[in-house]
Amino acid sequence: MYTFQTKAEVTQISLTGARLIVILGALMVAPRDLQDLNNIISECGLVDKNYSNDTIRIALSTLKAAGCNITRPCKATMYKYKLISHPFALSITDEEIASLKTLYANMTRGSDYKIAVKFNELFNVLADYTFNDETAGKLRSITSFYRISMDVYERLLAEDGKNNVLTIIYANPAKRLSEKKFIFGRIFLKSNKLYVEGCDLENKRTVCYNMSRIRKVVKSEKGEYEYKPEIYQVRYKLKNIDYHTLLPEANVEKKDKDEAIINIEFTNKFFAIQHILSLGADCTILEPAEIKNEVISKLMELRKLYA
Amino acid sequence: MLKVNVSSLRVLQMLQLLFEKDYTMNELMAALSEVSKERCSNFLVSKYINTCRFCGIDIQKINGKYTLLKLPFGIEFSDDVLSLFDDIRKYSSELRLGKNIRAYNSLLSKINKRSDRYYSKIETPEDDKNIQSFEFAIENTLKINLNYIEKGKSILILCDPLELTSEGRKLAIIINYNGERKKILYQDVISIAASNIKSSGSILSTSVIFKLHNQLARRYTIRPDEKVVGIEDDGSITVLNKTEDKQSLLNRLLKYDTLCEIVSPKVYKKEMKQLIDDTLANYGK
Repeated sequence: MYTFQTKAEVTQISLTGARLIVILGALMVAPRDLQDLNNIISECGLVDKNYSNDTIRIALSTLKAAGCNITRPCKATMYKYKLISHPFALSITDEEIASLKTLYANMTRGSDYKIAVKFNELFNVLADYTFNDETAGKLRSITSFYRISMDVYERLLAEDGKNNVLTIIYANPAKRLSEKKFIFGRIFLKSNKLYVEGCDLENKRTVCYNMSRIRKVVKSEKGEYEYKPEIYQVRYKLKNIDYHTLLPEANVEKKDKDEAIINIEFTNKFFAIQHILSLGADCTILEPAEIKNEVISKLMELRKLYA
Repeated sequence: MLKVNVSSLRVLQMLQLLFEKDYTMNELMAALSEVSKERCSNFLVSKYINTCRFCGIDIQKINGKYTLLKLPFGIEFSDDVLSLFDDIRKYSSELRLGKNIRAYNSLLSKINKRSDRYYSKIETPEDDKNIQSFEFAIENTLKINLNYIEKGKSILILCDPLELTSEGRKLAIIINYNGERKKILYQDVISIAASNIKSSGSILSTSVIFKLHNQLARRYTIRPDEKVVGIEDDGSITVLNKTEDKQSLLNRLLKYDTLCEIVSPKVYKKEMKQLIDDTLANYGK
């Protein structure tokens, strides 16, 4: 943790000041008792002797006088001193949080989920370092991952690419719990939510589960089948191409001045229809007929709704 | 009364000052004397700086000012997060997100002071005059004269500037014009000039109310600028949205098909009907 210079390099130092910095650094890492702190000071090679408990207590009082909030050792802290807050904590302004939100929203739009997972980790580290519940809450809620159980999250991230058969407990939107068994396919991010896609073992159809609704991963086992998602090869014409954000997997077949023919492989019919509808009148689906007909039928129903 | 060690307390107080900003020796002596309520000489302050350096805290004199550069026991990031900083830099250098990038860089400065590594800031090309005018108008709540291209025609309007954003990897601006939020790609902007007329900002933005039904009502995530204004017995919810760009909002609501219905204002209902008719016209319906 420390890279002390040799005493020859420094002409004048305050040993008590150095001791205080060592104690502060040690408490920033974890709660400590008096013996731990004494050991850390010795291991640093700062002095050759052990300090008395009173000397360490004075150092702790000095930290408090400098603005540190340190708990008394008690059962809840395993009889250790715990640093609750300190004046060197990171203070993050609302403007800085807004910049992180903007970067997150822009960089994860239609992106691989891994970048969102990295952002989530960044926000959690920063939140821990602010020592401010309100700021920490704002940081953690930029992603919607705080709704996901950490246990489920880590287990599913570890399953990515293994093709195993998973058994999970899933709460549907009406909060009814049921057991689901499927071949794990992939994790993806959509509308700031993490989803798990796979293949249902019984009917071999593609299934999609919102990770925040997965209550538990019950079992993971080697499967006999390889995950083969249903593929919907969607081809459409798009006007005002500059205005729209193309999905990363979009393949531009042909592009004129302001119009393009786009090819995209979807593994989920619902998302394919949603994508086409979200492009509005700028998009004309060319194939497949199945999705084209469903889009038209949904638009006809919508026309009745607004008639 | 807590027993404290005055000399070590001053070391921490000096460190705290250096976290806030950079100081010349004279400024640091004055600031520390004020905080500690005792005169701190050049000798003492140098001793405290040496103490911090001895503990691995990197304090250097840059342009005559003492600058805190690294803390050996500060924030630690995993390799994944380190690679994210690189991704952000690569991504953002293509964009000029104005104050967002300045705010991100200011956050990085704070992180750098609390870390034993250095995270490079985002270097963006000097913001051009139009972006400067746009941000100046936002800061001073002034309307802007905006000249831009829409469907091949040059359009000049007086509108309220709201924010700089991006559409994919393209810079875009959001304005409020006649009570509607509008997103315009920066590449379509010809000129922006701050006027001397006070802006109404987003106050006059149209409030759009829409209803969500069935499973969509249950699984819909309310966006930061939305609020639920009604819940029906059948589980349907009514949502108020005040800030989304009109075209983006209409396109987004269209994708929810019949599970979503615009309640008000009438003009949005009319435009949604038009959008549906225009889309169906693509299929000869």
